[in-house]
This record gives sequence, C-alpha cells and structure tokens, in this order.
Amino acid sequence: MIEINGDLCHQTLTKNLKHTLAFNKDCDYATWKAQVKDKFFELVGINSIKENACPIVVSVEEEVECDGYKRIRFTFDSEVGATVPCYLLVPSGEVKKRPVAITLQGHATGFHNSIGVAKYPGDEAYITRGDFAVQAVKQGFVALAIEQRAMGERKTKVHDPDPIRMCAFLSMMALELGRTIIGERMWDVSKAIDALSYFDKYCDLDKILITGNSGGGTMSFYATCLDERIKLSVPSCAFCSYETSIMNVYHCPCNFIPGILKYFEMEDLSCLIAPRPLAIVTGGKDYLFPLDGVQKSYETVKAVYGKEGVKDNCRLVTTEMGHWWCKDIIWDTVKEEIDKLGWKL
Amino acid sequence: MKEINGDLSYKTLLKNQEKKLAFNDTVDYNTWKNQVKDKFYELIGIDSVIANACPLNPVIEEEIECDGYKRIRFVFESEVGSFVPCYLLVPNGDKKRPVVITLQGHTTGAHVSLGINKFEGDENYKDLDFAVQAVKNGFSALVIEQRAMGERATKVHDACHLRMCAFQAFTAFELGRTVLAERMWDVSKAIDALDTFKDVVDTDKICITGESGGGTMSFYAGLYDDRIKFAVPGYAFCSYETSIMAMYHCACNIIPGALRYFEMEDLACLMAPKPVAFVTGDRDSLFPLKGVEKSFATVEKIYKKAGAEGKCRLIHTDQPHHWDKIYGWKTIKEEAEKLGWEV
Repeated sequence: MIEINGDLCHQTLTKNLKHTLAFNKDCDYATWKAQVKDKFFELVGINSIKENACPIVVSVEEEVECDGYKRIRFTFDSEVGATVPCYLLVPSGEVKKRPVAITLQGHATGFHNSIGVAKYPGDEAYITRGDFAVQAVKQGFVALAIEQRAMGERKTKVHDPDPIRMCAFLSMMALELGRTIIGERMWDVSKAIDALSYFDKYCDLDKILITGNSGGGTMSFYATCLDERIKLSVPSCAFCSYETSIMNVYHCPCNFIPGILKYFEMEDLSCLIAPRPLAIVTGGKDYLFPLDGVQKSYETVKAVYGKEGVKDNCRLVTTEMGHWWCKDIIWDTVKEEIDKLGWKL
Repeated sequence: MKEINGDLSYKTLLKNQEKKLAFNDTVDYNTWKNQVKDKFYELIGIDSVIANACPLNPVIEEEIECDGYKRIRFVFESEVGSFVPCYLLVPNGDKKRPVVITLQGHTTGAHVSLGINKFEGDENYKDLDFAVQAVKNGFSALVIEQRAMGERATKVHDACHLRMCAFQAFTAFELGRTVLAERMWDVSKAIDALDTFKDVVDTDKICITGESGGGTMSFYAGLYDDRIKFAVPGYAFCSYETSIMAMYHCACNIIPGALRYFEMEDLACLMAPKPVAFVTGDRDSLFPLKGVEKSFATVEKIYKKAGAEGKCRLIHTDQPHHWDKIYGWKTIKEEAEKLGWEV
C-alpha cells in the first residue's frame, strides 16, 4: 500500500518554492528593498488597517508608585474598535527624557507579566524571568508594555481559548477580513509610539528600542520593519526561516502571512530594519526555532546588512537555553548596543 | 477604566466592510459572475495547486466483497506529494449506478463513511456511514479522504480530530493557497480517477454530499467541477458573518480576504444553474438558521437571475449539527429523479 503522508505535499512545496523577491547579492539593493517593502505591507494587510485608523486619544487610567519607578496605565484606540492597554514604567527620581524600551510578551497569559503582576496560575513562577518591563526600568529605561492583539486582556471572548492558542480565533478573523494579526500588532506598536508623545517629559522619542520573547520577539522584528522610529531591535527566540520554524513545527496561527513564501523568507525582511542595529537572540536548544535554521537565515541577514553598508550593525547572540528569555544576556546585549549608539541611561 | 473587548475591532469591521463583489439585482450577471469566479480562484490560490499537478497514476489497493456491494480502495496522486486514499462502493449487479461523492467533516476520517470503526469513540458516530447509506439507496459511492483529515492528518504534531486541520490549513496560507482549494482540487482529480472504473459506475451521473466540513466541500467542489451534476451540502451553508466569523470554527474554513469581496451566498453564482439543495439543521448552533435563511434568500435571487429559478432548495431538518439520513437521502433521490437518473 502507498504510504499516506499528509505533510509531504506542503513539505515538498516549501522546499522547492522559488521566492521571487529573495535577496541575492547582485540585486539593485534600493529597488529590491522597495519591492520587498511594498509586497510585505500588502501581504500583512497594512493598508486595510490604515483605512480603519482613528485619532489617538490617550486616557491615563492609573498611576501607581512602585519600588523605584512609577507605573502608569493608559489606553488608546489604535483603530476603530481596537483599544490598546499599555503600561509605562518611569524610573523614580529626576523627571527627564530617557531612552524607551518597548517590551512585548509572547503567548504568556498577558502583558501583566511584563509589569511583574501575577494574575493567573503559573504567572508567579514565570514573572521571575518574564517581568520584561520591570527589568527594563531597573536598567534605567522608560519601559512601555503593550498588550498585543488577541492576547491577555485582548484575547477573544467568543470562546474560551487556552493560553497557548488564544490567538487562533482572532487570527482567522483577521485573515478572512484581508489582513493579519501581524499587521495589526505592527500597527499597534507604531500607534503606541505616537501615544508616547503624551508622555514626552519622560520619553526620549529619538531613542526607542524594542524587545520581547517568542511572540514578543516576532513582533519586535516586524514592528521595527514598519516603524523607523524604533532605533534598535532585539528579538529573542523568534527569528528563524519560516521553512524551519512555522512550516516545520506546530506554531500559533498568529505567525502566518498568507502567500509570503511566494516572495521571501523572514531573513529577507531584515532589509526593512537595516541600517538600524538588529541583535537577534536565539536559544541554542530552542526546538521551536531550530538553531540550524536560525544560523542559515542569519547568514542572509549578514549579507543584507553588508549590502546596506553596515555589516557590523547585525548580531546573532546564541544562548545555551531552549525557548527561554535569558534576561542577563538580553540586557547585556541591549547595553552593548545602546553604548554603540551613544545612548545614556 | 475603559472596557477592553478584543473582539470589537473585527466585529465592527465585519459589520461595516463593503463587499466589492456582493450580488445585487442590477448587476450585469455574466460580467459579475466572471469577476466573482476570478477573485474566488485567486483568493483560494487554485493556481498554486494547478501549477503542482501531476499524473494521477491510480492504484487499486484492495477489493472486498461486502453485504450487497464491493468495496474498492484506490489511491492516486492529486498533485506532487499529495496521495489521496479513496474507496469506491459498487452495488452488486450489472447495472452501472450514478455516483454519490460522500465527504466526512471533522470526524476521525473517511473510514467513518464506510461504517468502519478504527479509533476509540468511532462507534458513537451516528448515521455518518454516508457511503453505506448511498449504496442502500441505490447509488455507487465514492469516498475521498479529505486533505488534512483522517489518514491525511498531519504527523508533525498530535492533533485532536477537531483541530486536526489547523497545521496544514496554516502552512497552506503561508504557501499562498488554501486547504479549501486543495480539497476542491482533490475532488476534481478523484472524478478524473473514476475513469478507471467507468465500466462499473456511471461517470456521467455524479453528485456530491457530506455533512459539516464535508458539506462545506460539497458546496465548493460542486461549484468548481461541472461534472458534478448537483450538490447537497449538509449543515455547512451559511453566511460567513453568522457562522465562521461568529464562533470558533476550524481554520480550514478560512479564505484570506474573502470578506473584502463576497459572502458565501454570492458564490452560488458559480453553482448556478446546476441544482443545489442545502440541508440545514434548524437547531444547528454552528450554522445558525437565521444566517442560513438570509443567505439562502440571496441564493434564490441569484438562481432567478441565472434563469434557474426553482433549482435551489433549502431543506430544513429538525436537527442540531447532525446529518439527518432520512431527509438527506430523500433530497438526494428527489434531485436525481428530476435529472432522470434511475437508482
């Protein structure tokens, strides 16, 4: 009997599909970059999101004095019907403009983990390493935590999803409407940066970095592709060729961009971040984003940055861990990068 | 504090989004139908599937004499790397019978159509042995294992059968196609493969039915391949707005961008003037009656515009999301009789 392997067709296609906008060293760089930009924005549906944009009205809901910082909760609508809850953590002491670290959770229970608040079973253990915003403010940054679309407070109430797949329903809704959750999340980050002008006495809007783990790392990468005000991107446990990660291992629906493999791979999109510094952190034992895929993709990133004329502006930092936020390594990396940029904390 | 409702944005869009190719009474029908056809095929990515086509090379793997019919298992390759397991049930006797293509939805697989229990819990499926029912009603039956289901479920992870389609549905999107197009294509190629059996079944008389995910594909495959002479989709036809966009359905239902252009009912123009009879459960919470009836009202207008008034029907059953075999087969036989088929 013929062996039935339901995965074989897509595996074969993934291997053989020619990416029509893949980087090659002989391309006319500026033309290619413009083509990648247009196609990427089309595929993620950014125009559909823009059509639904609305004025940014910041509403401060809470100010709490914490140990060494003030925590401000605010909300704004990034598009009609999309209210974005955020926390801004401002170091205590002199009121002055400081560099901003945007921190994003992945498929945790929500962004309350970033501010070190446990709301659900399991949060307590996770926040010992997952309190990204608290870590940032302790480094001396103003930290912005954004609840990502379809996560935490913003997860669907249409059904009761488990935390690992909480994004599925809203991802599918976005697709049917001709957009993607990735596009929506990119947009939310960009509009959150607009909203930061409300807090300009605290925030140096010329010095913004973004970091996060897993789904937060993914969006650290993509949001930087969209918004040039982000000057440094440090995605953790997220950057990898689609072929070896989301096409090869069961990942969340919020990672998918319909049709993208006809045009390019994740690494080709690094041209939309260059020349700005990109420090990719990866887990050497991360089975969700396997190291061989990460390393192969990173070779292309290096070639892209070389073509851009800034070969030293990209880095790959490999930890000995699996799919894991290594806070010391990440903040050391961030500090090294901001030193190069001349930012002072 | 402002109430955070993560669903509000898409619900607002859903309500407000203009569908550029929605049916209206004043359209130039043929022009509109062609626009719908082109856009639908583009959105589902059928070109990507066609580009990967290959010779079918059907192989007969098993022939078993059963009670009143012979069951033949055959496998063919619908596109590179995509092997399709099928069963053909041929009633005893010399008469070549019309063929009903029967499709399972999110059960454990096509074996359920044959009345075979393979997995724990299969014995609890009630009235889903579609192919055996077809034979008992005088038809031949073609059973196709749908993409991403049963034997064709992913092995990349251990998927429960209710969500077994998710991984392949999403990898299809990334590749610029949809599982929906792949399944349409598989049905069409299975009809090609039936040529091997043209001496024992009547390949000029083919219809299609199924329930839930099988009903969905009865609709889409029915409108794709004109060798299918009528379709009886069960427990699946409903506006996207009131079904897949209103509650958690499977990823294999999704067509990226569809709602910028049309609703499910608008696609009925690709079925017309072919007869279609939608069987619906009046208590079906997954495809709510209100949505079904509203969508069907548009189907009726489309059929009228196509000059095929009366060729579309909505059959109500007093059921939840569950195949009613009495009304199901009554409907199929009525449609067959209208076409002069002898069963």
